[in-house]
Amino acid sequence: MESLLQEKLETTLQNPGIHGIVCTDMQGLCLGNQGAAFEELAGPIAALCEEAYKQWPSQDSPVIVLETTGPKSSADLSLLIKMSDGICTGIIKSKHN
Amino acid sequence: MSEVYAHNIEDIPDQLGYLILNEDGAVLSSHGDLINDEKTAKVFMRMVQIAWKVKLCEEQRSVQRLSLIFSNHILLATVSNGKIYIVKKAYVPEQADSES
Repeated sequence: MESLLQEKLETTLQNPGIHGIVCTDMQGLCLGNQGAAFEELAGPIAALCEEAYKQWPSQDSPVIVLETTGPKSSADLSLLIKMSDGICTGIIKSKHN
Repeated sequence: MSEVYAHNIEDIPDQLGYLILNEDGAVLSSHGDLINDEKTAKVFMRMVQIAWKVKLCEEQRSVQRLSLIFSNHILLATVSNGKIYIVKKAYVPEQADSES
């Protein structure tokens, strides 16, 4: 099952503009990561999903988008987070793609 | 007591409401759907505290914006001058237009 998840993460990473992808459970345990998405992101991603779920439990979980900037355009990134079935997925994407 | 300036937030297209919070999460100003919405203020305060510590790459200077995209509306938050600005906007997915 773990290899299937890794395979899916690798496939997602092939898409243009994608820098990294990480999957975590609601406790912040990293289930898998690829590319520039480090394991350390699992905690904040799970915490953000948890906060959104606590406030809007009856609605479809929202897509949480975090946008960053830097001196170079390579630092202009978006972190897209979505929770479904108790699993949070975070994708780091370039804003210019 | 200094007056809270809303920076033309009311002029944002499709804006349905806004909240302006101070560093402690207290509501300084509110309008529309988010009028006196202490619950949303509290949640955003916590989410901003988490999100503004996230580092996606070495060259990153700061987090610019936090958005929550729902099926029919978006909540956007940003931090400026020690205040948290939260805006609720209507959201119409582009696909909905082409399907009708």
